[in-house]
Amino acid sequence: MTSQANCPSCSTPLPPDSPEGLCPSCLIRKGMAQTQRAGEPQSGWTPPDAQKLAEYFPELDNIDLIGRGGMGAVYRVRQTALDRVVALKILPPQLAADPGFAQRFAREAQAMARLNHPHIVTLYESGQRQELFFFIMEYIDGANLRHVIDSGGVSPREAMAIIPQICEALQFAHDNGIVHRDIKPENILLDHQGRVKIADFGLARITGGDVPQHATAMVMGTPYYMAPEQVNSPQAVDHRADIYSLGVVFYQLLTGELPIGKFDPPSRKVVIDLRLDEVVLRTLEKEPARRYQHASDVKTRVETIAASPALQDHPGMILGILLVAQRNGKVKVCPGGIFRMIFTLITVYIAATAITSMFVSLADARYDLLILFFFLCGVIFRAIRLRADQLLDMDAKPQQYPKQSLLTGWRALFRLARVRREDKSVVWPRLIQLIAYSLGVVIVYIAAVRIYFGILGVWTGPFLELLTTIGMLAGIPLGYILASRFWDLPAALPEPPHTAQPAPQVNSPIVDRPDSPAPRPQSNGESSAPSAHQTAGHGMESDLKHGG
Amino acid sequence: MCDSITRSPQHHFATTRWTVVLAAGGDPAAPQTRDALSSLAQTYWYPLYSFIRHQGCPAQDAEDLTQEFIAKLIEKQYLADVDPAKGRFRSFLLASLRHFLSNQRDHDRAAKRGGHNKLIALDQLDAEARYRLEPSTEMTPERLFDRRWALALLDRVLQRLRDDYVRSGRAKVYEALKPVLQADPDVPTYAKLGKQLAMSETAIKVAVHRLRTRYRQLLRDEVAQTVAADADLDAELNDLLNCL
Repeated sequence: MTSQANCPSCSTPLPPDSPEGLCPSCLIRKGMAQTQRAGEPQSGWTPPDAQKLAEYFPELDNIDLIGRGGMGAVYRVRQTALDRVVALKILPPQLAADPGFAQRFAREAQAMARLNHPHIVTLYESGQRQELFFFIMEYIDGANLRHVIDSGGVSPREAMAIIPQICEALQFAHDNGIVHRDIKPENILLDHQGRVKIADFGLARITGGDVPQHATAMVMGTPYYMAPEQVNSPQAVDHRADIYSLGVVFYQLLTGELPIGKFDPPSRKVVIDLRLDEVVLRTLEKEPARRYQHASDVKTRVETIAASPALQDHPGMILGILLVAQRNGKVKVCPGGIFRMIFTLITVYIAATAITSMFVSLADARYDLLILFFFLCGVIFRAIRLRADQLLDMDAKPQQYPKQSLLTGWRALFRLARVRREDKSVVWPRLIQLIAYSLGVVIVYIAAVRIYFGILGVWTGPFLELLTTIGMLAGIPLGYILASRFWDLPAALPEPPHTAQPAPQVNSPIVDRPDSPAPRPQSNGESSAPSAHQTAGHGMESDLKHGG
Repeated sequence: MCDSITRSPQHHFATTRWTVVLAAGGDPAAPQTRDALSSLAQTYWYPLYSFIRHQGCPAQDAEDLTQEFIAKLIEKQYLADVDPAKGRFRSFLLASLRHFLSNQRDHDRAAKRGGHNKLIALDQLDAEARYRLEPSTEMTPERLFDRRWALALLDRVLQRLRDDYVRSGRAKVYEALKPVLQADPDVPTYAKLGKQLAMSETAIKVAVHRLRTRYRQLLRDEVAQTVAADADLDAELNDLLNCL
């Protein structure tokens, strides 16, 4: 009671009268203006305020500006007559100066209205009020993918749930002859159940071609998400450009970085299912003909991968991976892999037989030790594998590891890796559970092997000898699997004490920042949350794409 | 008030309570001034109470004095002196309270005690309990006043936020997600929250984002009620942060 709790965020002691037990300083700080106004439009256009807009739209009320950018402004409004909340998107009037604009607007709006799909934001109405071109569409009460990425990243498992939904929406649109042309995290909305809704279909086309040749504010989407052909020959763009952009989003979800220049396959950056490399790299092919030809193909592939266990987690691959594996994230193409695995198995077999025959003349009790020995081997293999993963993880995300742990190596591993996906407060209960569980398993295992020996009568002929040895060797995978149930790379690394954080990175959801691809270290499914990286503020106010 | 909740701060500004007071030119007869002031007083009475307590006033007297001060604030002429150009409600209130207290010392307090209508429902037990909880520090009474002000503000904001969630039947979500307002959650926290609320991790992230956005909106809105211009909002927040 008397011991004062500290704020988990700023580490200052919490005063006893803090509101709802939350740190007052951090609460106030959360309300401060962002240091930079992210996504502030660079064009001179200021969206009309609520009162002004009410003059244009007498049938709407409760008008609330929720996002703005160079490409327009989005308001949350209520349709008075229908008593429903919708999103209203206003395009900047200067766009209308373009002679072909009105025609383009009408044509694309018609096409967009056809897109009635659970993963696409529905267009209700479009039109023109004086100089304002507008859309009225479904309002999504949630966040966009950029917000979600910024607030702690997305695990591979989540990414593999999100991507197929995007694919579905894209496939549906493509079937209807509509290419999105501007797939990026800001356009991928998530409702409060985490379901995907894609916004701004066809908008890129209305707002003036695909070529980023105008002022920055007029660039359609960010160039990082654009397919090469979209930049080079915009006239030749087809639905496969969306598949490329999808690949960029996928890559970013998995690695936290954008695939720029000569980039590594995702598995080099994070520990993920190696089969995902092939999917991501194929969507990112420069040549459209070499990509997946349909969004539905990507969906199928991702879902297949999600449904079957990852190659590197397959028990049969354990030994192989131990020896060859993860170094380059290329288990299945490493030519020596299978060979070395077989070699290892033979070695282990010979060693085990030799050891077994050493013990053969000894008392029965020694068998138990022997069995325990094999079981422990399994546990040790798990440790070696973890160490390899940890080294890779360090390689990929050095920022996440405090400097000293790079040196302390094994000790750091044992300190960090002791508990899987759980916070520190449960370390001891988990360890006790682990020990108790292991003891139980070992006892049952020993009993099983003893019965087995008893039935067969020990060491009577080479065939039975082989069987016996296999029975005992089964302790290795058993130990390994058991250990991995409890033991993995930490989900979150403890923050190094008193490490000054760099200035919070403000991601601009709207305006492109050609100088910075906003790379962000990202967590992978089983491990590592970038706790040290999270920034306090994010550009939530400037969410242009919200609802549209 | 509920109506104001659904709007974002920038649209609020034309009609924040403090600007209403200022716009009325300090005319206490104007009904909107009265409403605006009592509404503000409702939120910030505790800093006043504890400032008075801190002057060495016993609990019973402090309560009366607080009531009386608020009554005077609403009825009498303090507002005439306000300079709208640099008005922050907090500084105004502290200055007025000082003025009030120094006048009060010259009067016979006993005569005044008890005879007034209670304008604000101060829960005295609550007030005393809170007052006793306060850390005894070396802070000046003024700084303490500001600190309590900040806490009262946060109480109010969190109350509004909670009300929002309760109204939409999501009180459980609010309770579970509340800690993210002070610290960024890490991955296991998300997973744990997901399990606890039976939501997917992605849905939790969306909910966290919404909670934070809403909180920020409410906080800025609540502070906006007490300053005269948009430009002062961040300065006020900064001041409040410094006094904590």
